[in-house]
Amino acid sequence: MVDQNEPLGGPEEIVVQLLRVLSEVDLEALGDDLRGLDTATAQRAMTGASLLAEALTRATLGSETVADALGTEFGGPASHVPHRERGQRITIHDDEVATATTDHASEA
Amino acid sequence: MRAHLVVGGGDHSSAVTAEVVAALRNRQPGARPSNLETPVDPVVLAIDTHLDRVLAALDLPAPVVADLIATILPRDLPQLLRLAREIAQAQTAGHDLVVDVDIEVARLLDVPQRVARAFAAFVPVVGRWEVLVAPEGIGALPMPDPPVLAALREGAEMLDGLDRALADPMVTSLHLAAPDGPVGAARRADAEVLLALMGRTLTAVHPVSGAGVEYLPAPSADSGPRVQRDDDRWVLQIDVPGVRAADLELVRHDDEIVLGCAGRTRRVLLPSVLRRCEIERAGVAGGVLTLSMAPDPAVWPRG
Repeated sequence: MVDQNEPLGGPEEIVVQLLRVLSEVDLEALGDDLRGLDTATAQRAMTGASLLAEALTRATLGSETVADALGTEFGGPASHVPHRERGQRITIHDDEVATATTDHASEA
Repeated sequence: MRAHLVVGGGDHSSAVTAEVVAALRNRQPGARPSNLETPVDPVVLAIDTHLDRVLAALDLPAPVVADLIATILPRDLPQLLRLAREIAQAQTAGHDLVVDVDIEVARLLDVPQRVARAFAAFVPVVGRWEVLVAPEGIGALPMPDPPVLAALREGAEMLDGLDRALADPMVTSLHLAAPDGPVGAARRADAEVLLALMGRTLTAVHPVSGAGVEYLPAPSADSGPRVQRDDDRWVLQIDVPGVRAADLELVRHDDEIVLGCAGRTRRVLLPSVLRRCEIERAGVAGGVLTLSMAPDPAVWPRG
């Protein structure tokens, strides 16, 4: 049994634990299960699987040794993170001020 | 023909409705009141039934299905559709219509455009259900019956028509009969911001006491987005009565612009001639938003 108080190790150790868990998954049965699901649930499962794959990749490459060897950095957001503000934000000028200034100038 | 809508949910709204009917009957005997009480709308029935089937196929518990349907279909959708039908019928018959609208004013002005867009977006999904949602051999989601597609199209068209009618002061006049106090003030503020983004104002504000009705400035006949050519540029003008530049937000999403003010938003579809143009400058003066637009060389075909 896993000791709940045992501190988690570095990225390498987490990857090893994840791979150990995955090695115990019956992939053939999992495939059958997935085929029995409706589209929406299967898509959610696919999303979960790709997130797991990404987590594994990031954890593996997050190892300083590997990252240094590959020349990669993992500080920035993932490329798939959606922009919070979609669309092109347009600056709106206050033409009321411009009009008033022009009026004053013409009066002078 | 014009539809006179009494909104705001004040206890005096029925008295205001009666006053409007009486005033109109002096001039136009054809004016008649309506209260939007209706049996289930066929559009709602078709969509509701299909949603029920889809969610039941997912083996969800009945209370969860009921909650999801209530979330997906706005509670005031039947009344909005009834109002859309009433206005369309009155336009065809050429008589005035007076309606005591028992829908929260902010939802009356905001929901039709949003739901029309949602329904329109679902049309291609339902139309290509076998490809996009439930390919053969995958899943157990039931194929929608043909009436669902027709209902989505009809619902989108009717709500879009209602939204256009609400934005056009020549088609609808809006009488605010809200309660006294902060609730009434909040409803008036909601209505004024949403109407400003639609390019118009309330027609009249009726106080609870019945005396001192406040008539707001009548809108010009040429309200609505206007496009003009200015040398090699286009100028688009949109009325935003009473809104200052500092209070307005503008975001472009492809062929649409989204106007934002005080936490409310409204989408405006760009006229087709401007869809391949870039916004060079935007400015507000005298309650009019002016966009200066130039052809985008990246997408404009060269002769």
